[in-house]
Amino acid sequence: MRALTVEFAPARRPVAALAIWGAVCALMAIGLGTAAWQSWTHRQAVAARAASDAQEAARLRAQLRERADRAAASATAPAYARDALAVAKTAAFPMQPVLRSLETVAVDGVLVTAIELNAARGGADVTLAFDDYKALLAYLELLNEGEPAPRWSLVRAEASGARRQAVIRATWS
Amino acid sequence: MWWVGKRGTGSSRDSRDSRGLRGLRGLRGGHAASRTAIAYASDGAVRLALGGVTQVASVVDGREAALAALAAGLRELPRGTRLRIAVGGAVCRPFLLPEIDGAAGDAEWPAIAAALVEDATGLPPGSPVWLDGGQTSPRLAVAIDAAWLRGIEALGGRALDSIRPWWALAIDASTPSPFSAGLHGLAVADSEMLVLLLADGERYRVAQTYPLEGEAPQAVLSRALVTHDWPDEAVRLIEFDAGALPGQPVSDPLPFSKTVHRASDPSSSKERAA
Repeated sequence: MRALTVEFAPARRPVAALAIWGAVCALMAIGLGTAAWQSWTHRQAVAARAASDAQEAARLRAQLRERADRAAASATAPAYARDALAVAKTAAFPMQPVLRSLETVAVDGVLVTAIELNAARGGADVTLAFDDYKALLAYLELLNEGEPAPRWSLVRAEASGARRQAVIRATWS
Repeated sequence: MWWVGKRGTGSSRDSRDSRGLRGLRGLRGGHAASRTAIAYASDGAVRLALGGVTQVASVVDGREAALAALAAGLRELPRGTRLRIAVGGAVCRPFLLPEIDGAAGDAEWPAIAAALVEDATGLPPGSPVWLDGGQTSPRLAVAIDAAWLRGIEALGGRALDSIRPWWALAIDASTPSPFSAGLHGLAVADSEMLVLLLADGERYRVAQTYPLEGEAPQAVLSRALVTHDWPDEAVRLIEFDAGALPGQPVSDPLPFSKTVHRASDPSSSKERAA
């Protein structure tokens, strides 16, 4: 006959196991608490050090800024600065393109008589002898052809008897 | 109610009582912290044994008297003694659950069993139920009287190791049985009840409790077998030893039982025929 495992006794609480488990839990709690406290203390120390470092960095930056401001205030342009600027502007002036545009344009009745390059101003004044105004305007139009904006302009034109003379100016800066 | 044992006062039982006291005093003086006492409790009898010797043997009337007798016996036990209690068929009864269409899940069977306790066993409603998982059709359940269970738990406290029906111990003691195949059965007659368990192989077919009411267990068993139309050749009868006295050794392997009779034993058959 098949045995029956009928049992009505209440399940026994494993007191010893619970006590051991409780002790283990308590030890773990103490250990974790101690570790957490140490971590918190360490974190606080690191945070304080970081704040101190940030304060020191801000102080140094302010000091550097103050020095830079003081140096900028006391700075005077050196004696060669103006000449150097002129030299730089002269070096930067596109002399070759100006001359090349004059060389590549030729109109009958227009003759270049003088070229005055002014690198400091970034421009060139060209004196022309022309036969009639129509040829002069055609010459100007050919000079400005291909430029995004008219670079050459008529500054002055005069006629005294049979001699006609004009001045045109180019702006390159 | 009369008492037999260390609390008895009858002159004819004095010598027996003193034996029980001597045994108990001897145990109290020794290191018995790991010992286990075995008790039987039911509405009509209380037994308590320790170290293989019966310490208390009382005839009682009702639950309160039984629990009081058991409490008196437990007070005399050495400190630290574990306690295993077997209860009679009047307290803890088996029954079979009918097949119910639609009862699908295992979660429904406890509720079904609880609802059937009163009708199937006569125990009060609300009695705790243990469900057997060994067979699904029909399912076997065991109910225990809730008031008895509370009383035993209160008495045993933390020393309580086990509360089992005495007839379940009888099943354990009778296995392996030569009748474990085919139709066979076990009838356990305790102090008030006859618990009849009939099985076909490993499957229980009948689990029923009959009140003895002073009648011979064999007569009750014979009537029950006729009722169930069950062959009595393979039914084993185990009886409670109602006449046990303090100081007597506890029978082995089933405490507080008489010598086991087997239906197939020629001598037993003769006795039964007589």
